[in-house]
Amino acid sequence: MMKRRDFLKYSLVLPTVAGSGLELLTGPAYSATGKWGRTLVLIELKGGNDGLNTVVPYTDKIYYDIRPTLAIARDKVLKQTDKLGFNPAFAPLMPLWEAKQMAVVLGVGYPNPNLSHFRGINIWNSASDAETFIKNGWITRLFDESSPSSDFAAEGINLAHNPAGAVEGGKSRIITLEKKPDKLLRQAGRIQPGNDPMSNNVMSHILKQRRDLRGAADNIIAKQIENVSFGGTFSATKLGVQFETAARLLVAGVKVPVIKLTIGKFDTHAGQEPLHANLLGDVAANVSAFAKLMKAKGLWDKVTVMSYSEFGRRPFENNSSGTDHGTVAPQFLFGGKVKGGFYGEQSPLDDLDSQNLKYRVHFREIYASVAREWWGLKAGFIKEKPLGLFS
Amino acid sequence: MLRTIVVLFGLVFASPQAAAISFDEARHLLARTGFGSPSPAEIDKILPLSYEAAVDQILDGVRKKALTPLPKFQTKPSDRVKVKDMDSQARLEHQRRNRQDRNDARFWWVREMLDTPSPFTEHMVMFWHNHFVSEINKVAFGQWALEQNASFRKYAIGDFRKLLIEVSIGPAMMIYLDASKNKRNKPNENFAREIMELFTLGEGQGYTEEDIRESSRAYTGWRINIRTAKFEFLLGVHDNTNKAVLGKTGNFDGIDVMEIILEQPRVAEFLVEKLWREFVSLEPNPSETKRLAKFIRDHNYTLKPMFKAMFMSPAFRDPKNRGTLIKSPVELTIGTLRLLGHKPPEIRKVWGYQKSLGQNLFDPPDVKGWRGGTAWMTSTTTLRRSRFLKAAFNGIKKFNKKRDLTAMEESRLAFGVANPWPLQRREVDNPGYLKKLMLAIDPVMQRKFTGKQRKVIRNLLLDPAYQVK
Repeated sequence: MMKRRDFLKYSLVLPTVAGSGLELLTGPAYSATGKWGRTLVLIELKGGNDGLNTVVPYTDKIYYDIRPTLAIARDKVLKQTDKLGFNPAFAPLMPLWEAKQMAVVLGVGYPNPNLSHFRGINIWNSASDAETFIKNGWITRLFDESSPSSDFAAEGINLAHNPAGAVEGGKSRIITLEKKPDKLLRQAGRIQPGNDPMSNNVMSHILKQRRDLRGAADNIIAKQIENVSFGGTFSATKLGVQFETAARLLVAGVKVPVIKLTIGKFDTHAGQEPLHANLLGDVAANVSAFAKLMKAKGLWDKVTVMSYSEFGRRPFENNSSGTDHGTVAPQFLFGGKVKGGFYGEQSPLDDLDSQNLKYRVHFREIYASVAREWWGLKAGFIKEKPLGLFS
Repeated sequence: MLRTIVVLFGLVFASPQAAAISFDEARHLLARTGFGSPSPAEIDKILPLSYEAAVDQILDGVRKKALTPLPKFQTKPSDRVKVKDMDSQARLEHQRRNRQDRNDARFWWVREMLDTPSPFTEHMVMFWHNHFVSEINKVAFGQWALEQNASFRKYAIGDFRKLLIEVSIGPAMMIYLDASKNKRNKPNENFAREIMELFTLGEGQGYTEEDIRESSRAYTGWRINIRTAKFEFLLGVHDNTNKAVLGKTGNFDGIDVMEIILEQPRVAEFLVEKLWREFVSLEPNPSETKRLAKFIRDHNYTLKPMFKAMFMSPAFRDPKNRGTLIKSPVELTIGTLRLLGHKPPEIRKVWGYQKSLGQNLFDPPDVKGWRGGTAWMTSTTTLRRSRFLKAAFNGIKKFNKKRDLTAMEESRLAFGVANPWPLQRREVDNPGYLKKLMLAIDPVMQRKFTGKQRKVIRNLLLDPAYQVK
């Protein structure tokens, strides 16, 4: 009975929600509430993505000099300007690029970069300076200004075995649905939250986790997600599975501000090729398939896909045909509301700081765009100016 | 029945003041000093004793050496010299073996935790691992990680001064904190900072940035020789001039600086606060901290008397403090497997669960170690913890069917099968026993918690109250 009613609700509500999203877009900016009906799909390129082999300075002699085995051959590069082109693995993304729905922010980094994986990702997740430690994720910090309403399944849905990072901490409700989401939802849907004894803070904390989990599971199950499937649309890789789950959640009408995806193995210290190209190819194929599907379902204006990585890599290749931890890398945004094109500028190879690239765009400028232009918030804790990434 | 006699026997010989320890106190003492869920056999062993004698037995039972034979490592630190000259194929093979060594070091420790007669020893080794943090991927060699682990054992509740020095000049720490790169004119502050901030005084407590800069010069000239893989002191790169550290001036070397730091009364208090959070409650008590710190100073950094005072303290024994600490992933996994009597055929799977619950041995998240406390429990780890507990319970569920299990079914049992009868027998003799044994506080759920059925064990394992100790 319950299911039948929810099914009816779902089929009726979905177009309305899409409609109200559009109204918010054009509506006056007086609202202090975030446009949380718009979802940010975050892809963490875990391990530190090699920016120079992603967006290639194919006319720069230095690039070919310092990367004797790793440089992408000039004739293979997907040339876009007289200086820059994409790794050939990005071919599946070219339709999005040409449709101006793919933004490439060049030279992204921050002052006094930290080259530790853990600390690096913590800085990116929390939007802190290199010198300060902030526990909560930057999106969790946005919830202090405006939090999603109670009909949201959770603040974050995490689809990989890796912290949700940007949306962790505070009162954030996060549910992880890795590998087999349906099985996990069934498990979480059976969790009995239990009575809070109140006298014991630690038990209260444990029981909150259980309530959040159960609440999210109930919310998602009620959207009949088991009836939504896109088998064969995405790659059979770990990332493909995550994209498929993300698509199912969104098409089923699950309300959530952040869906977090992770693709690992970017820490290419040795034998970087063809591993790195394969990783980029995995991202490209699945982003492309995801965009097509979202367009077909009328959801592409409500979704932004954004990459990030704890750091870039050293311009000089090492003695193991790999690259060591570095600083700067380009980042990517995709979506119906994204204004495609290049932003920022490529960090030059003849102006390094102890062998590493100097940043041109602070990563918080991207966050400022997402927070203000996409979600319509003030985001007072971000001092940087937005880049104008969204229409 | 037998147990009753043993208890009475104990009472006859105990003095009137020193009554036998109660079941609940015995359980609490063992849970907190061990892996969170002591077995009936462990509790039986101290039930005849007075509370004080039980504390003594746990402290006296600390082992200086591990039972488990060391793994045979395939790579050794002196290989570092050769790696540079390897072709890429050989290098990849070296890396593979090196990785295997790191995992073997982990499996070795998990095995030791499962088998040890002294859970308190492993608890303390774990504590020091999270105090003197190093990450094995940077240290690179399983051998070095286990050398450090041996130092933690040697001084588990012994001489903190010797522990500090031995660990600091050990290869694992020297490599981890880049101490080997510390040269005159180019001192590296990383090592000097962590000695004060993490090992002895605590962040921002009783030292200045100037003390760090000055003391970093004292550690110059220390390094790990790449060929011998041993500590050495190079006078040539040592800064052989005066340094001013914590109000004293002289031409100090690194050991001198550590001695000066250890003269600060704050060191003992810092240790007590951290140990309090580990063993008593998440809120250290300032007057108790002062009282207990004095035991450390009065015994010249021998820690054992302080541990006795801490475990005898009213706060440790206060029933209100029971169930107020979350079991760490290591405690949850090891404690449960020991409680249920599992002998896991594949240690890798035990380690795999610990890792998925957020505690990969030898790989703390950063120099500050695992944060612990409530951070252990997120919505993600909530489900994973249940998954682990169900996997452990499955071994009990399938016990009778052992002979009928196909290889496939057996391989699905992560930890093999375990005989539930030793637990069930207790419940038959003494209804309500399992609840008292397995939970530190009342259960949260409305379920069946008494009776000899296996589902009683399952209900107790899966109750949220099982997550605390």
